[in-house]
This record gives sequence, C-alpha cells and structure tokens, in this order.
Amino acid sequence: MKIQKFFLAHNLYTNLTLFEKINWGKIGNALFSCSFVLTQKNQKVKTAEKLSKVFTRKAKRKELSRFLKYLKGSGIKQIFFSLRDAFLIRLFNDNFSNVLLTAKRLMLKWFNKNLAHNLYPNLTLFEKSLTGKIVFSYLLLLTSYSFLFSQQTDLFSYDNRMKFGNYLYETKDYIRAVDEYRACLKINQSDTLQFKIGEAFFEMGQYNFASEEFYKLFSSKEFGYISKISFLKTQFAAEKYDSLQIFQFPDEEQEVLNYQLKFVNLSLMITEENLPGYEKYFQPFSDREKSVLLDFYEEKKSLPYKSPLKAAVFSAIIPGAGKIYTGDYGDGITAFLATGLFAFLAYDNFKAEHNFRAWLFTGLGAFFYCGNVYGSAASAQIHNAKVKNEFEAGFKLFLKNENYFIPFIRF
Amino acid sequence: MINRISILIIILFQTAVLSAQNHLEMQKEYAESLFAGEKYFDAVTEYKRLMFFDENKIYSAEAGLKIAYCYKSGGKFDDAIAVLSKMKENQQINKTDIEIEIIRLNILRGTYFRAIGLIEKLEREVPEKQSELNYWKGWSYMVADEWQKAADAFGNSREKGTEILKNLCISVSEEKYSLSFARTISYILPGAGHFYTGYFIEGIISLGWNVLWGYDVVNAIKADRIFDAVMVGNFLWLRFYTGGSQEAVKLAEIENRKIINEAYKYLSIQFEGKQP
Repeated sequence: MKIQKFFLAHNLYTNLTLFEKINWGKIGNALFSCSFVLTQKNQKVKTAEKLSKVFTRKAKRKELSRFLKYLKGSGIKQIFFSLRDAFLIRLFNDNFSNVLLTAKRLMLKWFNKNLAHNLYPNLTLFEKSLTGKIVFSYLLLLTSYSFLFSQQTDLFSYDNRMKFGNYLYETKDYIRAVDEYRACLKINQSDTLQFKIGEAFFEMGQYNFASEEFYKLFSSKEFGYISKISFLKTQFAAEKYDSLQIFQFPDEEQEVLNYQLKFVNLSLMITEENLPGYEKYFQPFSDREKSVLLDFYEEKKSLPYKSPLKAAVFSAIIPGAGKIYTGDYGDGITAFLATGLFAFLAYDNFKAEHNFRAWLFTGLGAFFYCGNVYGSAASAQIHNAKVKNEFEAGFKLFLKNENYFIPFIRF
Repeated sequence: MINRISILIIILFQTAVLSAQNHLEMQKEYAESLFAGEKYFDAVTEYKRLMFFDENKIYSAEAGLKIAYCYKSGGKFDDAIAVLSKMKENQQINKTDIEIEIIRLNILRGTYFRAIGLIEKLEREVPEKQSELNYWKGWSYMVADEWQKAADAFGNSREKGTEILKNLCISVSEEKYSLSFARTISYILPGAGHFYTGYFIEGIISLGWNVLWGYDVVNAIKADRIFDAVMVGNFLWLRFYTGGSQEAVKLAEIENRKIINEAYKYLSIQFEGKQP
C-alpha cells in the first residue's frame, strides 16, 4: 500500500484509462505477480529489458527526468522497473493489435483532430508514449515504403513518364511521346530524350522542329555524331538542298563531312538534270550503298523526258503531232480534227466567196493551231514533271526505307 | 513477435497496394475530368497513361472505350474505329456492343455501305439484336440517302423513337424531287423541270431561249441556210436545251439537299432517341 501511495502521489494514476482506474486493485496485484514471474523467466525479462531501454530512449525527456528524480533514492526503483516491464508486456500481449489499429486510424484520419483527441485521452501514459512511438514508426515505415514504391505509384514521376513516353513512341503516337519526353526534360536533362524528340518530330514530318532538336545535341558526347547526321537527314527530307551544301559544322569530323557529301550527292539526284561522273558521284558511298544506288543513278541518266521544243515543232508541222509525241493521244487527235475542220471550213467559205465566214473560220483555225503548238510544249513539260515526280517519289521512298544510309539507333 | 511483425508488414503492404490502386483511381478521375471538359486530346493521353500503368487490366476496358469516345467526339472516326477494333479481343466488354459502336462510327464517317455490311454480318451472328440492328440499318440508309429503305428498316425495329424516324423518312422520301423525272420532262418541254422544282422564272427563261433558238434554226432550214441552222442549232439551241435539262436536275438536287438538311436538323436538335 505504501508503494501504491507513492505511485498515486505521482500523477501516474491520472494517466490511467477509466477501466484501469476501476480495476486498479486487481491490475496492481496482477502486475506485481507478473513482475515476479517475469524476474523468474530470464528470457522474457531480457526482452522486457530491451523494450524498456527502447522506451526509455524514446520517452519524452521532460516527463522521464522528472519521474526519475522522484524515484531517485526512494528505494522503489527496482519495483518500478518491474512494474514498467509488466506494463509493456501486458500491452504487447493484450493491446498490441488495438494500438496498431488505433495508430492506423489516427494516421488515416490525420487531419481529423477531434477523433485523435478522443482516442488519445483513453490511453495510459505508457500507451500514449508507445502509441506516439508506434504512430511515428508506422508513418516512418509507410513513408519509406511509399518512397520505395513511389516510382510505381506516381504516374507522373520521371521514370514513369519516360516509360509511358517510350510506349507512345513505339506505338507511333509521336505527338504525345514528345509531350512526355519534354516533361521529363524539365526534371532531368537527357540527351537520349532530346534525340528521341528530334526523331519523333522527324517521323511527324515536322522537319524544322526536328532540326532544332538535333542541333541542340551537336556538342553532346554521346549523341553528337548521330545528331549531326540526323540533322543532315532532316535537311534533306525538308528539301533544303542548298543548306546541305553550305552548312558548316562546328568541328570538322571526317565521318560527318563524308555524310554531308553523301547527302549533297543524293540531293543531286533531285536537283540536277545531269549527274556527275560515276567515280565522282559514288566517291563517298560504301560498296553496298553504291550497288543499291546504281539503279537510280542509271535511271536518272535515262529518264524518258520529252523535249518541249520538239513537241512544239511537231505540232507546228502536223497539228496534234506534238501531243501524240508526249503521249497525249486523245488531245492530239482532237486537235488535229478541230484544226483540220476549221481549215476546211475556211477554205470552203473562201471558195464560195463567203469572206466573213471564211475569215472567221480562219481566225478560229489559227487560234486552235497556235493553241495546239503552245499546248504541245506545255504537254511535254507536264510529261517531264510527271516523270521527275515519279522518280523523286520512288527515290525518296527508297532512301526512307534505307534510313538515308544512317545506322539505326536502338534505345 | 514474429506474428506481430507479419501483421505489421501485411498492413503496410496492403496500404501500399491500396495506395497504388488509389493512384490509378485518381488517374481515372483526372482523365474523366478532362473528358467531361471536352479536352479530348489530353483525355486520350491520360486514358492511355491509365491503360499503360494498369498492369492488372482493371481499367483497360473502360479506358479503351473512353479513348474511342474521345476520338469520336473529336471527329477522328478512323482512330476511334481502330481503337475499338483492337478492343474486340478484350473479354471485359461485350463484343457485340463494340461491333455496334463500330457500325455507328461508320454511319458517322459516311461509310454506310460498310455499316450495312457489318449489320448484315451481326444479323446472322446475333439474331436477338435484330431490333437494334434494324434501327442502325435505318440510320445507315438515311445517311446513304435511301429514305424509303430507311423507313422500312425503322418499321422493323422496336427501339425508342423508331416511329418518329419512320414517319420522318416517309415524309422526306415523299417530299424529295425525282431527278430522272426532272430530266425527262425537261427533255420533253424545256423549262418543265424548272417548274417541277419550283423555279418558275428560270423555267420561263429556259423555255424562252429554247423557243427563240429553235425558231431561228427552223427558219434557217426553211430559208435553205443549212450552215446557219447547224451552227445555231449546235452552238446555241442544243446548248440551251441540254443545259436547261442539266440545270433542272441540279435544281432538284439542291431542293432535295434542303429537304434532307431540314430532316438532319430535326434529328440533331429535336430528336431524343439514340443517334450514331
């Protein structure tokens, strides 16, 4: 009872729950018994000691120091420790799950202060301390755990954005892939992403944007070389053939200059009527490239162009002949018949001395005749444009399929 | 002690799983808010993101459908059909519903023969959906400008609003001008096609020109001026004669378009039944 009084004198009693206050006598006896049993069972005592050490370290310093001051020299120190151990054991035996659940509830309702307040007063001093510790530990663990898994759960994290961007890129949704990569670049600069943005713009046919992206990587250690070549590719695809010839790279890498020469020569297939000699033209290309380009080289040299002058002369001699020369048979025959009809009508009217009608048909005939001569020259030009366009389309498609003789990059 | 640690780990694990689940749920809500705000491009991006990270395919069906709706709402019918075609393999969605959605998209993009083909295929495969399929067949025929066939198809459907649609189709079919009739009567009497379509002044002018040049041709033949007769007949009378007939057909087409547009206007504004 003396010991109990000392305890009651201390404010420990006020920190007990209502249930514990009512059953204080029974609990007190149980605790003493428990304490005695614990001291007999060495192993459990050690466990209790360990827990008590943890508790001692983590408990609020102010309360603990005040309590220890009181206990100092009082002769009840040993009993106190036994009692405290018993409390801890009891707590762990009976209330561990409840405390955890309470902690979880507290955490889930973190902002619900009223609930937290209602729960808190019902806990003992030890439970309060322990609850705080458990809540803290739970939060700490949860935070750590969440941090570990954050890369998976935060869909807008750098890694996840990049993964999603790669998926979009692979499914050819380039415009969205660019958005994702740009968002990643805001977090962390990456030459790979920068390059992929350039490639995405290239695939979308946005050559100006692609050039800008490749240009930014000229000084990159990893992507400098390939971005320079890709820049040339973009200039070629954008039909900026003059730029291919005059563009000067900051450093004169031999391989890059060789590629530049390749692209210049490839552009000649499109811009020039007459190609340079075989040796000169194929000088920058490898043997494989030469073999696959040779067909286009030969075809370009013998494209079935029609001379506009010849077409005009032919039509001047025989109306419609120029159009037949250019392969426009229907128009050629029609022009021949129409001009012939007007010529006949003019002749017939002159013969019948119907001068007005004769001159009218002469004028109409002359108009048709001149128009046909001009039309034949135009027809030759149209024919040539068709031939050129077909050749260029085929050549560009071939180069695209060959990736412009640039090695494929695997990301 | 081990059990308690296990409990703690389980709680933590469940929390983490729930947390991941919540992220997907939040992502879904975000995508839906974009969809509701008619920001279809962004909504497609977010639904795609949801599908990409939804490893357990919990939201894939719903997100896929929403992507298709986004494309549909944005007028990208080809993309919507492509998405839905891929989703036919998804077990979470009824394949017939997907097919019907594809039919609706075909109606919207004007490929009504494709829509009718798909309907006929479904009629064989899912006879119990005959009523709904007849409904969409009616819509397909409406878009194909086959109003009588549309009325017949609606007559065989029990869907909501079919009676209204059937009456509308019959009304349009009756109101529409016959192009062949307009052409034929214009050949018989120049200007008659104009009168038939309600263009009386144009009809009188057309008739007047034809009478004038016809008279001139006849007069030239009478006066033995064959060349004049041929020239006037060919370059003037024949031009006005055939031109008048062609114009009558064109005017009939214009009037028909007005009638059809009125019907479409009613369907888009006032009709409360299902629409493609």
